[in-house]
Amino acid sequence: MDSPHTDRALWRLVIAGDTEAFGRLYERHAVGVEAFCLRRTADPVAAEEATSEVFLELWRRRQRLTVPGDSARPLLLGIALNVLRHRWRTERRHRATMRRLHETFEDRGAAEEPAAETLQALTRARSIIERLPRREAETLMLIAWGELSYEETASVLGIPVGTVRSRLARARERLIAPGTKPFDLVGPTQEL
Amino acid sequence: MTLTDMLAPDITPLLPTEAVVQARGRALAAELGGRSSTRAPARPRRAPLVRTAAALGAVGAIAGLGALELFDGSVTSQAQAFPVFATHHVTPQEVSDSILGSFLKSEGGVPGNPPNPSAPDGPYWAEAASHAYAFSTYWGTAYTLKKYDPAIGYTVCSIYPDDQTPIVPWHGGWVGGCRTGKTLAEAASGWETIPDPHGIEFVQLVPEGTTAQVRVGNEPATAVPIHDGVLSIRVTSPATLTVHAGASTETHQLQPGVPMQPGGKAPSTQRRGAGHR
Repeated sequence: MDSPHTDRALWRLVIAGDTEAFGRLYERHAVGVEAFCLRRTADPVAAEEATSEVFLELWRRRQRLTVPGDSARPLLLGIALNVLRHRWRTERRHRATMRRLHETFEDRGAAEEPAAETLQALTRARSIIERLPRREAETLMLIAWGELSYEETASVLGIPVGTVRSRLARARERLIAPGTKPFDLVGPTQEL
Repeated sequence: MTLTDMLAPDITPLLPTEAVVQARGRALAAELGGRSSTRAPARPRRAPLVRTAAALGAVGAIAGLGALELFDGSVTSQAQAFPVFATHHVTPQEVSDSILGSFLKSEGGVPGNPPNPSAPDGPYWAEAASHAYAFSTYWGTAYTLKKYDPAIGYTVCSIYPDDQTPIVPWHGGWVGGCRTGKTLAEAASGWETIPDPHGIEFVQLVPEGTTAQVRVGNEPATAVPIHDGVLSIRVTSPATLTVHAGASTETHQLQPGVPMQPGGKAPSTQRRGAGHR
């Protein structure tokens, strides 16, 4: 019998059509999903939209999805990963957003600098991960950004835990080996 | 600074507060509760990309879905209004050798490339690709896919060649997007710009009878040819593009080298009258 406080217990209610349970699930995980999307897009507006899309997909597919463990987080991040794959326009949109934000922050002065610095840091992190092959990048994202365990990451990606470990190892090698092409870390990432 | 610090900087200032999340959660529950009392149990259905719905936010998106479920449009008559959908389908061989093939692979739509277990969209894309249409743009052949689902409405995806995006390895030199609408006109009316170092290309699927003029700098306006319902133009100097479709007139300011907000949401787009958007 599941504890009434676990996501799995909530999920059973959601499948039965309990909208309040869905709302509680949203409250529990919305920030985590939005944080993941924000790190992936480096665009607050796009991240908020993607988060909405994730929960919309979750509600639509509730009859077909299961929460395998006690937490719905792996399931949500799996959906987020797919939603974000679809947002291939993000790169272009991101550039436009950054330009607008830059102009906005210039207008507002120093008070907004911390947010601008955070966005720059996000952009830098995103550019690092995007130099990796897709499979390694997604594995690293789920662990570093989604804070999933190796086992949870394996279940999201549908791969063995050993493959998660090997992908992470390869990603790490690429990221810390500045002489390796074609994933040289250049520009602002040289301080690595 | 460690690699971990570099990859995951503190983003707390950019995230919603607990109060905001709780308010959204309550609103979401209330919205769904209002709908679920009159709905039949949800049936399994494929969930396509719903970019327009997503832009509304969780509550608005789910409310919007309810409105779309009431729509039951005529596929044939609306398809005839957009000449591109009256052209010949591309062949499977053309698909596999094209940017459309790259797009489908990235979406898990090709045998041997299993889709994400949380989002089994592969079969959807494979089916959609059997109704893909090709058209010419400045940078080469582009493709559009059309899908109708009574529960969702129309989804139209367009994929354009874009050699300017090799930054992300898996982009594979294409760019595109999908729109969903309760009518084909709503779904198909998005436009895309593809900037390059020296110019910018504007592409839009347009309905029968559309005309367009472009004015570059202070030069006189000239008509833009439209083939098979596809408006495609590339300029290397700032230009004003005016598109007339039915009673609607839209004006786009094209700035070479500057990407515009995709999907018809550009701040520089001015709309007048009622029409296909």
